Amino acid sequence: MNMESNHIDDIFRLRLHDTETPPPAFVWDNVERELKKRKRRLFFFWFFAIGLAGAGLWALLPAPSSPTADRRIESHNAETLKPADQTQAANKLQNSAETPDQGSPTAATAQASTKRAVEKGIKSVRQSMPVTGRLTPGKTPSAPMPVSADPKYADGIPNTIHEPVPASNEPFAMLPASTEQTSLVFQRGQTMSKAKAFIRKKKDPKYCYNFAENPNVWMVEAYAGPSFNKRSLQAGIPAFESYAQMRRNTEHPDWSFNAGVRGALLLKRHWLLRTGLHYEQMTEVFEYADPSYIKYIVEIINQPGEPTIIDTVGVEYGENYVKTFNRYGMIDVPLEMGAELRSGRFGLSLHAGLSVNVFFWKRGTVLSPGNQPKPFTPGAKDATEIFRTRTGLSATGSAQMFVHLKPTVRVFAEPYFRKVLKPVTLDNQAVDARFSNWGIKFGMTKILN
Amino acid sequence: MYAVCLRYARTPADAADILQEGFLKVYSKLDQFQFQGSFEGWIRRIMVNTALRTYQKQRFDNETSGYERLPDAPVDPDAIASLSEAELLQIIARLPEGYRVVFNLVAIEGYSHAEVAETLGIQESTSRSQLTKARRWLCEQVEALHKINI
Repeated sequence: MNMESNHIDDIFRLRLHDTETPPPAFVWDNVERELKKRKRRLFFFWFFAIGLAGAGLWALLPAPSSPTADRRIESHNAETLKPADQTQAANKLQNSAETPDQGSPTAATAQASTKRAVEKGIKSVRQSMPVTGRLTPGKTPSAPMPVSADPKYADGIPNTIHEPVPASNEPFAMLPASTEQTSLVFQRGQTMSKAKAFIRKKKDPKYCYNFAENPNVWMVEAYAGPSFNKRSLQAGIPAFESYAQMRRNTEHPDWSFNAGVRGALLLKRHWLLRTGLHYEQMTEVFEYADPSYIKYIVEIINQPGEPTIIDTVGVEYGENYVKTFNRYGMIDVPLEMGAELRSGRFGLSLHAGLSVNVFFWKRGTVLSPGNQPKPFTPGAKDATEIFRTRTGLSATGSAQMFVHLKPTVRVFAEPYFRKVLKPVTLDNQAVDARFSNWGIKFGMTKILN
Repeated sequence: MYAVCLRYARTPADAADILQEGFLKVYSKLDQFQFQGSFEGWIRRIMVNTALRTYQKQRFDNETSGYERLPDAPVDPDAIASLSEAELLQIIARLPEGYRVVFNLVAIEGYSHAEVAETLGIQESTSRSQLTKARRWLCEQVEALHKINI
């Protein structure tokens, strides 16, 4: 009896809908391993995210007032206020701090008193200024100088100063030249808080290198860090697409790492030339399973004078499971140009360039066009040669964020990307493999000059 | 679930990959299960979606319409009865990509053509056409295999 083809649907549904086939055992191992890997990735993600957020907060939060600036301010007060005024101002300051209600008569009296003391102090400073400043000795500004109502600024320094104070003024002359007196030159309308931020951003000689003095310097850098390789497999002709797909299914990228040393020349404070040695080791997992694997065990009888006999002595049925970690190592000489911007201890530099491969080693297994795992490790038994001796040129780009620990020592984090320009496989291969990597370099820079 | 993956995959290795990926999704989205309906059905749906995404890009690229005007071919029911589940799975695995997906979704999972069209982003007419071709192809394969077995 024949049946209509849509009955095939019913038959297939009845036979297959609830059919269960046990999966290969390695699937559960893979699932377990992948879950652990994901947990690990999640941990690292949060670790770096929290670290980055912490570093960002640390960089953004207002720094405690600079000890140098505080010392200057204290010296300034000591020089300009008479002992009686100092005592009075201190008493008033204490009163105003204890009574934060600015609208109360006591607070108003304290403020007025403090203001008078401050104005008196400033006036004495101005009267002692040399003629080289913008102010004429003995001449006070026509407009009153506003004073902060905030007790924390009522220490003799107004929060708005209408006239710039020349850096060479006598009260500041006691400061050493290297402490950058310009940081105290407040501009018209600049508030104290802005001025404090201005002071914070200025270069601190304890940490910052004086690039103005040495605009061209040599630097040595060493780094290492995790990376991730992205490998693409493209069939040379459409007929090899199914083979390329099988390769993609059996080869999966895994974590890799990079390390290197390099020298950099900083030119005119901002321009960089870099070269050195960069090592990149990439890892892939090759995993192949043939659940219907049949192994024939044959015995070859070769007796002199008689034809060779090949006798099958056994047949084994089972699963052929092959798993290897394919590793590729590359040593490159990068040639990069870049530009560097700095703000206080922190800085950012951007680089781009080319790198030339000088050494390329490889070890592992791939699926052959005959759908069988084949080693490609040079010198291995039955090894197939599929990779070039050198990978050639790569294009590179990176962004380095650094912070000075000392004037001549920096630490940095540098995300980077690199793409090998030509396929790393030989020209006669059915499938072209191309490598690209991204990762991050953590390292240290030593400024040599 | 491996049998479900085998029906959608080209090779057993692909099926193992789909199963692995599917179970990772199950673990990561376990909190999204609403306890409405069967848990097995939910997992099955994830497996099917994973398989569909795996092949989505290249599925209909190289399909031809050679069977468009052919009538549905009859098949001897004994021919199918004589085949084991493993053999039926192998026949399905040999189906061209587009045929296999549509046949699995419509004939075995019970999706409508409208649902298939929406899931795969194709026209309903394409889904119907692929199913017809799949049936025809299966009939030929089942008959051929039956003859060999005899």
